[in-house]
Amino acid sequence: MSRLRSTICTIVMLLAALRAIWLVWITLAVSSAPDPGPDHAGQDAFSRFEPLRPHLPAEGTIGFVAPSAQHGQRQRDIAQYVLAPLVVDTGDGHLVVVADFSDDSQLQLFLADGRYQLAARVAAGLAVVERAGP
Amino acid sequence: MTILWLLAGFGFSTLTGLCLVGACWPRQLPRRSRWLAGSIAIGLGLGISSCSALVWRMWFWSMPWSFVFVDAVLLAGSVWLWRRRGRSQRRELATEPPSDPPVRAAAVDYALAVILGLAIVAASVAMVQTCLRHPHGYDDAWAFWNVKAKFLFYGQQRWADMFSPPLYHVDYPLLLPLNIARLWCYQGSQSTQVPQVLAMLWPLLIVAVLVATMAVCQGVRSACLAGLVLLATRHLLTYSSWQYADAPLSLFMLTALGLTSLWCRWPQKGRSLLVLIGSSAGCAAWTKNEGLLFALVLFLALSSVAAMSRRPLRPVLARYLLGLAPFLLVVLVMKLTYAGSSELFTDQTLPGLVARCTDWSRHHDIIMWTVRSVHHLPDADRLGEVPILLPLLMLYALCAGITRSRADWQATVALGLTLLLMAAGYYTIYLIAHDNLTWHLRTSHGRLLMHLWPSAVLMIFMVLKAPRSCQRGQGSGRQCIN
Repeated sequence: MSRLRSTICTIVMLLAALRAIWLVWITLAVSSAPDPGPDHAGQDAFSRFEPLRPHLPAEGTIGFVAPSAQHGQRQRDIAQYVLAPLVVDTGDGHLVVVADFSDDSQLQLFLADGRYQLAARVAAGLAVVERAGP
Repeated sequence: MTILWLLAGFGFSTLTGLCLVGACWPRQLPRRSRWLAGSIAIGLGLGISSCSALVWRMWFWSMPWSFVFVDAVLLAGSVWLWRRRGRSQRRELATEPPSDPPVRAAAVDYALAVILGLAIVAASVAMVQTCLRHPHGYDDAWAFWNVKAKFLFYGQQRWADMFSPPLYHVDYPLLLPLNIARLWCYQGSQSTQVPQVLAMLWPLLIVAVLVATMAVCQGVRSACLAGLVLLATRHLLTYSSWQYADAPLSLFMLTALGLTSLWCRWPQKGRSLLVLIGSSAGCAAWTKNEGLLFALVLFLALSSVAAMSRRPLRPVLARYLLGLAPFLLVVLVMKLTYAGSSELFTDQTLPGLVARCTDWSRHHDIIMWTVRSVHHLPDADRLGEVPILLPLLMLYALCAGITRSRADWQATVALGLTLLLMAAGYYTIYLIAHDNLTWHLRTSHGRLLMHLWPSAVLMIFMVLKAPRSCQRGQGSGRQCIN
């Protein structure tokens, strides 16, 4: 390899090295900025479901109800992660159900038909409910 | 005290990995290849320990401290294998030529090594920051992987409920969740630190394996440059910090292909490396379903290289399968006993498949996404940066020139064939899997390319001459003088 080509190679190497360090620096800057992603909201939601645990069985399958399907699916996923090894199934066809509404008035509306009774309310709109009767 | 127990958990897996890699590592290889042995031992150790963790979870979970007992038995077996193999290698060495003499590094190499070290430190800091911002990992991490670790750790008799349909991807292999659960057992409680530590470990191991492989094959200068190129890939750090399983899969694929490069260079001395190549492919298969495709593709690539170089095919494939078999067995046990069916293949009908395959808009979308992702993969991201790493690599390739070493070309063929077949496999999956192709591409394309990128960097630098660092040496390989 000629001296010129070798010199160019060395320059390219140094440029790549500078590029690597600069990119990592940019990553640092990005990671220290506020995160607008949907995941950020999820971090708070993890702690929202934690107080449910003492009121639920250790294992088995429970239901999960939420006001809207799209919001409910994500909330169910978070609840599944927090409450594992319980299996959290979508819908209210189980003896024990987690009801996750935005406020208590919606929760009261859900309980109004008498199919479920309140077992434990852990936060505004968030409760463990049990099937009433046989 | 908790940290000491956690270190003990890592210690068991690392020592097991070191003994098993040591048992298969040819002593006739250059001394610097021991760095590579050390770096692959950590990953393989975690892979093997996850298999023992499954054994513990299936049969011994109710006995107190049984996880330590299972790990200790595995370690004892590995030590026995290492000592037995060591004795037979010492006998072989008496008739073998001495290994290559040590080489001297130049000032430029030291400078590059220091820069690489700085980049590693900076990358580690960046990963720590990202991990602290997402302690539970990003969406896929907590929804697919960490949730299964919780079933394995907390679940009593009903731990296999994690394969129930309300959970996602019930057919995914368990290397990552089992490792997390196993380390939680050592720690004594569930914590976000264990997945975070593992998340940061994988990319560091990827860089270590790449640099060590290149150092053996092409010298320190190429090794440092390859490491820097990889560290300049932001997606690698991002996906790893998000605690995705794509990083360990990428590591095991790179490990298998790096060892394949060594085997191409020393086909006779490095026969036993084929067992480790099989084990690495097995770990990949035990990490994600894409790893099963990789194990098959590597089988085909090794067959091709063996046929091309007129080596006897049967012993090559027998050693590969010997390393692969234990992991394949564990995957089969998991898939046949517990796992549900794959979402990709349920509800598939022949007319539906034909319709998808002949839908040209799907082909167009996949190709366009690939072109765009490859263009932006190495270094550009949402900040609108100009991707300069690929042009820089091309300039470097023009100046460095192409290698004339037969061994390097064989390694390049093996690596290129594997990567090509993997890409073809991914293309086919995209083509036939989901009706909503745009969603499928958007959520997975970058991660799939990240599986292949470290191995692609290895191939690029394998096919290029090392700058002013290599000269013809004795035997089949070149001796690198830096």
